[in-house]
Amino acid sequence: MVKKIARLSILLFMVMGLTTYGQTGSINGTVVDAATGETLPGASVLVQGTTTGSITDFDGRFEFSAPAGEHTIVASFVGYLQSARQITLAAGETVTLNFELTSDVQMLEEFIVIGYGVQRRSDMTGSVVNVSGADMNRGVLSDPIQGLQGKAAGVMITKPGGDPNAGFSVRVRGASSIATSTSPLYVVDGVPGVDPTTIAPDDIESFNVLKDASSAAIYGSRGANGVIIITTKRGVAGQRSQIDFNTFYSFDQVANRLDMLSADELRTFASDNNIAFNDAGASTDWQDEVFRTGASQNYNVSMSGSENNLSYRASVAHNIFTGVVRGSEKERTTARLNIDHRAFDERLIISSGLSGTFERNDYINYSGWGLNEVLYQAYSRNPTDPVYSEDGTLHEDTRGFNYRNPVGIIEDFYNKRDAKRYFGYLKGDLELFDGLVAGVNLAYTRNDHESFYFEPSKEGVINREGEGRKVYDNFESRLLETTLRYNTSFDIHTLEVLGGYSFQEDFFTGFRAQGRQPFLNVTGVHDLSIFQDINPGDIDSWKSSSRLISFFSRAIYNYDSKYYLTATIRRDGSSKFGIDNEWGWFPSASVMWNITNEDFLANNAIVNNLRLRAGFGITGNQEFGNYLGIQYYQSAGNSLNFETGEEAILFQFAHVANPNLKWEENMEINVGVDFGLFNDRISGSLEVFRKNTYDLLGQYSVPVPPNPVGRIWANVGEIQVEGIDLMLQAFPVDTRNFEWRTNVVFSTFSQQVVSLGNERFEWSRLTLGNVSGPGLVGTWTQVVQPGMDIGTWFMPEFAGFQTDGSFLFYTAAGGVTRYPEQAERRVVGSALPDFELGWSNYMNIYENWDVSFAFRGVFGHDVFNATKLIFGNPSTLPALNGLTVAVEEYENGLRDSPKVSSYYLEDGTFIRLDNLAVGYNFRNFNGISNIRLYFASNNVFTLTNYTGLDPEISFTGLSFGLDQFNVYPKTRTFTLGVNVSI
Amino acid sequence: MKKTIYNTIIALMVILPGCTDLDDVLYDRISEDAYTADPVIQMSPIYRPMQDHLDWGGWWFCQELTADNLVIPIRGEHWNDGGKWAVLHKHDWDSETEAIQSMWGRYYEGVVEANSFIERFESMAGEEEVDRAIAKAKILRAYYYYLLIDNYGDVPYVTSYLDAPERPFATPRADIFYSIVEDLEENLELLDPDQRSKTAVTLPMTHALLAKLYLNAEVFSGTPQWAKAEEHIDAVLDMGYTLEGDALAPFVTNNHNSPENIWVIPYHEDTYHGFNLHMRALHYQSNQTFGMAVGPWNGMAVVEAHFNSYDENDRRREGFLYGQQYSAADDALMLSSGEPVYLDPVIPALEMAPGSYSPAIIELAGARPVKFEIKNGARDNLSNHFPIFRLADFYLMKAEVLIRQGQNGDDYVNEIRDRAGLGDISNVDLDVLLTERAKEMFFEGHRRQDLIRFGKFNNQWWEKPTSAPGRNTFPIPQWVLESNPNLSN
Repeated sequence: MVKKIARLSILLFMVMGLTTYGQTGSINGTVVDAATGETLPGASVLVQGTTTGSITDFDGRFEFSAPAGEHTIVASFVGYLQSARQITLAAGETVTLNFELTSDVQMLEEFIVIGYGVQRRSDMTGSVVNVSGADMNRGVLSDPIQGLQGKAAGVMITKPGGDPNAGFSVRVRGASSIATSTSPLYVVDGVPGVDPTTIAPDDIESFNVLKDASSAAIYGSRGANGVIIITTKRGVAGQRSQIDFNTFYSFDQVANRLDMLSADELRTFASDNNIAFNDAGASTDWQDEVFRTGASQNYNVSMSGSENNLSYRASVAHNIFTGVVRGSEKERTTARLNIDHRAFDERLIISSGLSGTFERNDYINYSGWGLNEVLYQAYSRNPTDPVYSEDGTLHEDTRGFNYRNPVGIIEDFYNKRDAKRYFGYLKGDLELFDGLVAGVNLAYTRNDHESFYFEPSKEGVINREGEGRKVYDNFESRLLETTLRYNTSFDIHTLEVLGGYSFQEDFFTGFRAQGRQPFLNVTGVHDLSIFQDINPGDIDSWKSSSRLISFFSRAIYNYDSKYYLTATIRRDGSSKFGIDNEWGWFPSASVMWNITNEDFLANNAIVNNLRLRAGFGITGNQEFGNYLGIQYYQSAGNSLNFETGEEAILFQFAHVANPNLKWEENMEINVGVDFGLFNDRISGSLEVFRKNTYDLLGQYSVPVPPNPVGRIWANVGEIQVEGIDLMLQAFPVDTRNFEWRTNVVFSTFSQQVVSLGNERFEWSRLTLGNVSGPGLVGTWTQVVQPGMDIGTWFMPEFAGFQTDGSFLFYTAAGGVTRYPEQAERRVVGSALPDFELGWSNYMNIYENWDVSFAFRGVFGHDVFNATKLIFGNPSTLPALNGLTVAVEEYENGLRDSPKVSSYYLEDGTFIRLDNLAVGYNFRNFNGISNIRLYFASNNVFTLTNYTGLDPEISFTGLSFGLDQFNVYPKTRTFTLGVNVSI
Repeated sequence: MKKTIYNTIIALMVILPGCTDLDDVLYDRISEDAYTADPVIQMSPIYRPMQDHLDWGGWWFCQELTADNLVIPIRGEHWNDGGKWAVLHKHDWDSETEAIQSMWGRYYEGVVEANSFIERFESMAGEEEVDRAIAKAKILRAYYYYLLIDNYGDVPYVTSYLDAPERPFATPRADIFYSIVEDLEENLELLDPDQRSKTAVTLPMTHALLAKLYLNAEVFSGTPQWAKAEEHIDAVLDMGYTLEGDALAPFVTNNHNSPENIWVIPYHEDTYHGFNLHMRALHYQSNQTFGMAVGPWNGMAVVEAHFNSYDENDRRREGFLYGQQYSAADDALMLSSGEPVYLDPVIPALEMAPGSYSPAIIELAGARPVKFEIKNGARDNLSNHFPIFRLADFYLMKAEVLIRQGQNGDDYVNEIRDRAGLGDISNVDLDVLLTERAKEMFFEGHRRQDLIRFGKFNNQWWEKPTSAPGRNTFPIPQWVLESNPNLSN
């Protein structure tokens, strides 16, 4: 079909040629890639200055007629440098021309996307990392951001466990907040605040991460956590039409299981130690019962092309992720359409994008130690209990508090979500006169989430009244931005100026209805009318809104391509801020010296690129709730009117007004050097930064009395983060048959709390990292305190065992005690890694083979193994199950209840082969331009001394590093896939 | 065409930046000035802190778990919780102990709501309804100050919302005592003499509060005022309340009309949550005894000595759950190890470490308090009203003030004993009276105050050593000290 069109167009050109001119000659030949010698189908070959010409066919051949005479013939193809030849064509003559096009590395790699514009990489003054879609991690990506994992220095992307429904936490250069979000701002195709899960990984053209404040300041009060700009693929002017089809199928296996006691081991333990024990007779491996082999499928079809002034790309992606814990599943369909139109000799460019994401999630509970938590129940369940009783019903027993058959939990609970996310924008850029462009951007986002929850009523050993709930949670955002841009150069000066205005309004609305005691279980959550216990507060709805209005400007200047200066300023006003602090200034400046362009380095045989950069900027964080600065009444649930005895609704103040409430302010200095050696055979960049976040938002206490409530939101504390980001890229081998590119990223930082108080508000410290479990309610392990690093483990230090088997802890007086509350809390470790390392490799072998693999290592962090604290303690054996290590602990004499201490702190250092992919390309196969078959594996292996499930817990927020039997097993994935390009 | 587009865009660029409106728009919240003007509805927030009396580790825990009748022992790996329960029993608490931290905010919430209410309605004073509402607000404020001085001693005494100092200093306990007594006596006159609501502020409730204040006057001010206490006790006894025939009748699920209860917290399983002490007390399997759809937590138990203080024939002993436990269908309950669920009143230790005691002993130690009826099918919140002031208390208080004034209080004590199925006693002295109070007022939040008034709160008992000095009041919570440097412990 496509071939037909191509032939038709060739014919068309020939006819055009024939009709226009009487005396003609013929031109034919091929267009190939200069490096690989591959033919290039779809390249255009034209007589310069005319529309006479042709597009190459699938074998890279072209042929057309042209009038006799002298011509310049130009061959061009997207991503390649143009090539031109002079010919003299006589009437009736045929000239054969073979073009070899060189790929335009400049064009592909040298542009980076910065806020409200693009910049040549060599002009870059701030700290921006660019990762192209092609360099993303391969294999199964449960979220697109996973593609960036380990690829960008200073961007830490982690996810504890392998739950397909859990998101990744992303942190750029450390935490800088206490009560607000530390997630970066995502900007998708120029629209800030878009949820990145709405993009199919195959649709991503590039990631650009604005790491330092001088780059991110153009996003003002939302830039403090860094900005990740995602650009989606679009049709390109002059591009031939192309269809891509990608699919894969993968198997997920539990990479690592807890080493629980088997039924026989538990029996042996009981008989060896003469402990009364109810042996239910079965031998059940409860991990087998709740785990399974998961599977993922991906289908992605896209078509792109251009027609006259229009270019387009449309794609549909469908993913199914079946989790390794039974009952967990995610299904996601993403559709995207990008259309661009050029008019008035390309003086007006209209670009638009539409996307819809439809996601279904099936959840299981596994976060705590309650009755309905699958993992806790599976680990603690007695292995002599059968799954089903002889009559075929689920076996239940009462071996202790909150004891429930995990298979029953999986089968009984209905916990799902339907998410629909829509996003669209329309942008227009009009060149009013040379160098002056006016732009408008209108964008609309809507996320509709519908959740369903049902637990059936049950009688028997497990006696439950049943519960059902349906929730709608909707988010809507409207954006309008106008910009004016001016570019000019005179002599050796180049100047680009930008000015703009932005208006964004967000709405959160929702509705919830719930009830208990369903009359019948059959209809589940789908008919709430049959729930017999419904109270007034069971129906709820909510709505809130916020507004962000901004003016911004940027000037980029360079002198002779040697000395660069970028200055930005943004003024942000937000309805979230208090009335006395509605508007804030966010300035930045950065400079760069491109030493390469100095005479003394010109044509240097070794150094082909050397640039020094320094930047300073102020950004803000306003990712906190609405209305925190004002005082209002909010319904606080059912109550009684004590005067009349009637039911009433109570209204209370949530907090005290703070007219001074403002953004958190982040001040960052960044110094960097970029270099390239031996014609970029080795290149890299090294950056050092320090950022101080002031005015940390927190909920502080105010005296009661005089205030009606003791809470106020105030900007008080300060955190300092210092660190180093290093990125190296090299081509160790670069031959026609073996091309190897390797990237190393390294980052390290420290984050210290400088202060938590000022003259009005004071926190002595925050206690965090609460361990939950039987008898452990309210025990904490971490502290945020001035002078201490975030992530510090602060708990009783283990001092050995007393002869009766009790834990001993050191006291402040230098002695020991068996009571944790009398022990001295000490700094016993840090959950913050010393450094993180990523190593990515891309190889092309014998033209048709491609191999990529990526290692990632996190070094020097301590993990608190609360899973071992609970299940490694023999006190509940043999009624409940435990780890095999619990028996060893018993034999070693441990006879105490679980108590938090440094005894359970372990080194979490790990090195992981995150992914490995091997592909084979069939080029020009039966008229199909490329078929790639590949095999990939994710989480291939992990090297670690950590004894728990996985040492990658989480490294974000104020409190992290706690492994608490709530880690969804990490999976090892094997994928077979095919990419087809037509 | 081109011109139109140019003009449109330029117009947009000029007009749109004009929008700089950043005012908050409220949809599901109410601004202060838009709130209702109805004084009766506006009184609700003043009563609100009462709801938390029995939950959140607050008031009830500080009154009962610090005394010698009830305990949450550490049961193996359960109920350690960072030692927060054990420190209460051992009088080893500090300003960061959860229960002590949570009480303060609740009672000052009531104080500030009352102050704000009074100032809002003062301009309308003169109308009878408004005057009464203001009087009630002042009486409730006095009730919260009574709790504050009882628990914390010297505390800030603030009686205005608008003119309150930003960081108030503490006022001596005695000064607050005299101020609130005066406030109560003044406002007594303004109440409707016929109102007998058990939830609202009423004349009997106000007399009851004054009686409690005067009864503890020596603790609060240094000077006993037994005659004044008796005056108000008599006023309460004269208000038409009568003792129930059955000693446990005031605590049944439908006790809202009990003629014995004077002022209650009207807990309800659906509409007024907060009474979940049974969840903390009952054994894991007790849900089968009571047909409950929720599983209790097996924590709190009766201190053995207190259990033993009851006579075999004492009707009130049925307020304990002990011995072999049965399901609602009368099957004997068994642990999965095959051992019977036999609740043993003996608690071998405050901390029962797994190595030292068998799992069954750890799990089953201690009789459980079920003074408040647990109806069949009870939920995690009970529907029993919880009495703050109850007539039987005033019988015993009457006896106490008589004895303290050198008279005989036997009649009042014996009325209570008779009802429990016990024989009369004579020449009741203070020690005997305190024991009788423990048995009758058990579980109702009086024990700490009683022990302090009788000078026995610091004594050694069971696993509690003699208290360190200064344990008759709780320290000002840490979060309060951090927010107000004018306060200190």
